[in-house]
Amino acid sequence: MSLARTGVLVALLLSTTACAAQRGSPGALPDIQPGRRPDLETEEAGLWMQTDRLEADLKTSGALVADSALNAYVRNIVCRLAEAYCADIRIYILRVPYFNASMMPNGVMQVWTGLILRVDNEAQLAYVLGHELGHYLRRHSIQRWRDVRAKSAFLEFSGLLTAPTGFGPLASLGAQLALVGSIFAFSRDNEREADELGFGLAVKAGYDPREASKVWEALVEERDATKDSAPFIFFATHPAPEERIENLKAFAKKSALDGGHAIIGREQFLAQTRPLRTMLLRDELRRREFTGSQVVLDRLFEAGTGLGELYFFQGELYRLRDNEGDREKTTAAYQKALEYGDAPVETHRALGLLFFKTGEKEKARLAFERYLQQRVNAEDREMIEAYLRQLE
Amino acid sequence: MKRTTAVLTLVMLLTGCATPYTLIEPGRTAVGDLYTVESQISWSSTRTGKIELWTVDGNGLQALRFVNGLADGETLFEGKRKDNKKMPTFRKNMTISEIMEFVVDSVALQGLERVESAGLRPYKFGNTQGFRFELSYVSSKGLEGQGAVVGAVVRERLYLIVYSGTRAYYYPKHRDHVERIIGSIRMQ
Amino acid sequence: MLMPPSFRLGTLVTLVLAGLIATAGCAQTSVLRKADFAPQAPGPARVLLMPLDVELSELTAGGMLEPRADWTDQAKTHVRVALAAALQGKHTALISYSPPARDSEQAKVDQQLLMLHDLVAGTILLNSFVALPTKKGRFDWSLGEGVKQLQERANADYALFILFRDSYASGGRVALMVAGALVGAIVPGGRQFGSASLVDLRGGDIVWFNHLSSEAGDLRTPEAVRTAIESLLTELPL
Repeated sequence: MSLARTGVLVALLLSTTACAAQRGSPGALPDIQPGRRPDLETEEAGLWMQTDRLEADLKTSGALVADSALNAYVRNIVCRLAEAYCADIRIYILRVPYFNASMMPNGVMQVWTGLILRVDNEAQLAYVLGHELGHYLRRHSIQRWRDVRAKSAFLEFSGLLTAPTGFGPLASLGAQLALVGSIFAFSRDNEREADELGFGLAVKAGYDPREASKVWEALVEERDATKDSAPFIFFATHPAPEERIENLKAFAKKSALDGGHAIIGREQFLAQTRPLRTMLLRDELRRREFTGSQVVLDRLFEAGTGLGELYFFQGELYRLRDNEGDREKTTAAYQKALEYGDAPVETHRALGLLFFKTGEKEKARLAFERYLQQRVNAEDREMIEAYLRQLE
Repeated sequence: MKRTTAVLTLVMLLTGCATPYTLIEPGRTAVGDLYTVESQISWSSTRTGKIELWTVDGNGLQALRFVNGLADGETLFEGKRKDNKKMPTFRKNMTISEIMEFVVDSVALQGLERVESAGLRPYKFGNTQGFRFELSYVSSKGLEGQGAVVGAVVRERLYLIVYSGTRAYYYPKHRDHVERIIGSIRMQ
Repeated sequence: MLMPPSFRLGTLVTLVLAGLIATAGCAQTSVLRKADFAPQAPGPARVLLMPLDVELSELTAGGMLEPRADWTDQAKTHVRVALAAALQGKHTALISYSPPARDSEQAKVDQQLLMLHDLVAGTILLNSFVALPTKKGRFDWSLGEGVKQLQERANADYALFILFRDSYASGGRVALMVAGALVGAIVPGGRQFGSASLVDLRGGDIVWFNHLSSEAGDLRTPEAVRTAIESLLTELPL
């Protein structure tokens, strides 16, 4: 490369850095103040405007969980943590079967149902939500935006340094989309800071500090079982979970709170989330990520609530997985489910279909008939009656 | 020139590896190797792998998809992640109830929300005994859509006809035409 | 899959702005109208202005669009003023949209309609570049009879949907464009995009659609907005 060309680029690079500095450079900011909106001419207001638009989309989103009791419950936990900021936070519970919660700069908090399925109690949920509030209070998004902007300028400059091609606009569009996707992925330092801040909020609200690390321990167990970190969005940018667990345990040791009197809130949590569990388990199995789902199911078995439903879903997991020997396990799980009063009516249909396939006609007939008796308005009645005719 | 390249790039971006749209005139048309159908109206048609797609107004508004003979172990859509093991897979020994579950779960993994099925029942597919059920869903943004699925397993392969579109206007617009097309299936 | 998100108007506009659909330096508009459209009964047409979809951004040196709340706010005000002025000359009364109560049934109905329009307008825009065989030489799009509730509620004959996206190169970006020219690479600068659709509230037909795309003009100033609105509405069939 010629000296002149390099010289021009270096000069430009310097001028951009100077320019970026005018609208705020990467680095720490003072915490956000309750009830405050950023001034219109700031870049923060621009980010708020865009996240306001995203929020408008969230309001109508097909994934939104409308259940008002659950929304009120989560809101109540957030308010205990956020105190003066309570009114600034809007919570959106989304039906996505992965472990995640996130916070936008304008006060929008997203909670995915995969998270709800993966925590044992209110305290664990509170520690995750507290972590997200930490990002909000410290205004990590705006820090992150400045960081990305500085980096993206650099990327395009280095793109010019390596031979420009006819695919320039396309390549930069791709780069732009990738960058936009990572805007809300915070740096590891931001994550550590949010962990500490969130921990403090949850302890102050009276939650048992020993629960904080348990969420991550469970996630590590699931990750290790699947040997695939792809679905663990939280791990992608967060500090190594092992490090995080150690940190949180250290915080818990230091914490003055007597664990014996602190809130764990298992009963309240179960009462609020149990009605949605059937839907969440169904969504969980749609991932076809059986090893991970098995870890989730095992933990629910350990907690021991609603065993009929759990055995039914255990059977569903075996049936969909369809490994060597899974057919026998499926039958056994469905039959076990029926020993409990809360087995879903669909268990009979599932058993009927199983026997229908293996040619055990009498058992299939009995199971289908039970299903139709117990679900008088079965929407697939015509089909089940057709199976019954085939069995004759 | 620059504009042509740009438009081609745009088309590539939006359609993936699908073929360009061609016109299907009213009349009898072969769908895959198995059967022919008769249509009263014209359609724009494109094909991606085993799926042939017909639309009048644009496939985001309404689409009639013909899935032509999925074999044992195949998926309905290509996995978003490279690992197809994680996509629901068709098995030749599936019961019709399981085929419905296979379709619904596949569709739900395409970024649609609240995908629900209803009214599974036996239904004539040409001269074969097939099945039918109805779908409802909302887009990730929240726009309501609906669909109907008719299908059959012939010689261990799964054939589906999926009609879907926005609940407001575009699905109802050609529903009657589609019902006639489904009724006109003639095995080759 | 059943409803690909790529056809949404906003997504297409992003592609247009990213420079995939190259346009000349001057403003280009592209009017599409329903062939058999006849304006409604005599007397001034009552046009309901749907919520404005406007976003102005700064194009950073790295090619990212950084949304600017202050510019957007100004632009929205300018657009309302310019629309009122432009339609006044056209024997038309502009009615403003009054949003229903939050979370009400009516709000949901309106949301569905706005989303449907967004999807249809995106499809129209895509078809203006690459037409489906079934759409060649035709302009027969509709939102369906669901619009009738708007007709009654607002006592309006038509609904007008307006969208603007605009971006301006930051100082760093301008420098990069100059440097790019030096080494023979084209670095896209800021681009303006606007679209307008007119919907007949009697049955939901989109009777007219126009879009403009330009590298000039600055929607931060009332004059530029007036110019943009005037070229956008030139052939409005009212």
